[in-house]
Amino acid sequence: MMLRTSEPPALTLASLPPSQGPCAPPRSGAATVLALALSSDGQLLASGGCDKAVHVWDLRAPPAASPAYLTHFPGHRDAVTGLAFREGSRQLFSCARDRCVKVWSLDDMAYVDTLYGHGAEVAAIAASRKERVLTCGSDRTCRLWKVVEDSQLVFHAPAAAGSLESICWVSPTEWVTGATDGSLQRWSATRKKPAGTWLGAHGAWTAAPVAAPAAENGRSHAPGPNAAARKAGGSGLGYGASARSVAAACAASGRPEPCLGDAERWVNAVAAAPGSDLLASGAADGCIRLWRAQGGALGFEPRGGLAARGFVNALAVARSGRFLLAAVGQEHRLGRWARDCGARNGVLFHALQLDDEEAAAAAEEP
Amino acid sequence: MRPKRPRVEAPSRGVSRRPSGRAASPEGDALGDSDSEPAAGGRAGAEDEEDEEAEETAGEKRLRLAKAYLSTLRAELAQDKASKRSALSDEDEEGEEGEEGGEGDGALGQRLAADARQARGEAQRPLARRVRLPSAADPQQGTLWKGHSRPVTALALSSDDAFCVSAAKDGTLLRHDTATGQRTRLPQPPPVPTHTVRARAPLGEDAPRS
Repeated sequence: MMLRTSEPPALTLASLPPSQGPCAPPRSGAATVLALALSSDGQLLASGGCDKAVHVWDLRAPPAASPAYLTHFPGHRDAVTGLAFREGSRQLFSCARDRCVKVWSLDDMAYVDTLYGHGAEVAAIAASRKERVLTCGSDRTCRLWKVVEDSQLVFHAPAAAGSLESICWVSPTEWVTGATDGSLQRWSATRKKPAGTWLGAHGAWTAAPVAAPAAENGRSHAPGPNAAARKAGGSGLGYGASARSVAAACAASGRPEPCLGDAERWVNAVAAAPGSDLLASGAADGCIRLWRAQGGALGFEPRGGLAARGFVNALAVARSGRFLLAAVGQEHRLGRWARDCGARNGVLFHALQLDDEEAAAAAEEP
Repeated sequence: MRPKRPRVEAPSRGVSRRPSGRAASPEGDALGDSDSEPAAGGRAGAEDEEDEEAEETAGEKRLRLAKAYLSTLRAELAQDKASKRSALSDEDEEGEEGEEGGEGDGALGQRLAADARQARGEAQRPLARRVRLPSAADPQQGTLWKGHSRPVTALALSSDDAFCVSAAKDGTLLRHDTATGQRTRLPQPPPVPTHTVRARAPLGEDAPRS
């Protein structure tokens, strides 16, 4: 049976009326914030949004006191959609809907450089310890920017993936992206195409892993080898009951069931615990999925899920792996394509229980 | 931070087997002192030390610091080992004396390699296998930290996991303490002028010169 790869929804902001786009003015008059980043020493906070500027706060004040607002950097010509600090430094990278990536130095509080190359809006950005920045966007490419060498590597996702909405590093040379067709791609700096694709990681689709495209056929979106997992109705994900559990929870609480259409499976956020193989991905299908970002034919394997009602717009996994945070809301962060009236706006905190290393190893043995 | 010079109170076996270097000699120690505080000796002694420091090249300094760092690491490892052994038994201590040096260096190498991986950000901790999953029958619901009236759009977690900052579509920024869930509101940024309007003189009149 061929898996039907329907035409992915066009995630274009132009298709939204202005009152529903990201920059519809909120009632308070303040500009919508779309991105945040904290420096690795925890002292500087950067925020960016629809006022096209990058704002910087100083958090060194004691926790009870209010943090000091430092400055803002104009420069982007459209809404800032992503921010990332280089680990261990105060170099800041920002990406925006104006298709640019900009480099800032917060040591000198100055603009450094602009990186051009994306053909459409840039949706997400990830930085690492080296001067290497990853971005992805609606042009279905990931770009690995070598800031010092002033060069870039371009990686293409298959056309069926729609738009790449989220990105994060899982090792110094590998990363994972989430797309609007509900799939996750795993990339390596040595391959132009995804090393592995997990179709239907989110949404009502059944799980369908796709191995790295073999050189002879190159059909990257063909149904994968793991037909058993697909037949089992997504039980390969270890949390196949997510859709049912959402429905049951709705029935119990009297809240309306979500009716989000295609927007349900857009993978809006991926995040890994720094320096580990624990990966989390979030969409609007009521479930944050946990992955092991090493091993397996695809380079990652499902570990289970956590309940999360509403659009998961951002994720963060603790370095210790002891908890996971999700920014959830009734609407997608970039617009109002759909609205989940039963969801609540807030930061969702999930504590994670960690087994001892020996116990985990023993559990994996048989 | 690398320690500048070893602080070894009790000379342990690992340290005593260290190859003779400048860090071990009294001369090396004096050099280390002259970096931070003036020597307690007479004026002539202080001048001598200054001369020596002037002679020390960058390479020599690096070598001295590296040796000092290695000796502290060795001391730490030896201490670990000693505490482990005392927990087990004191009987066969004499018999192991001969092979200890080699073992210690092996452990030292592993420790250095691990440190280097950590510093490069390449260390991969296997966390995913250790996560205990909630059963599908009893899904974990989590705790919702309220405070935003509009959909939350962004989240940043500090690298020590102590606090996070979240932002919403209405432009509010909240800082949450991850241990308690307590929230603090950040000040609103001042509005940024979105349009720059430049008046231009009509044709024929004196145009603005740039």
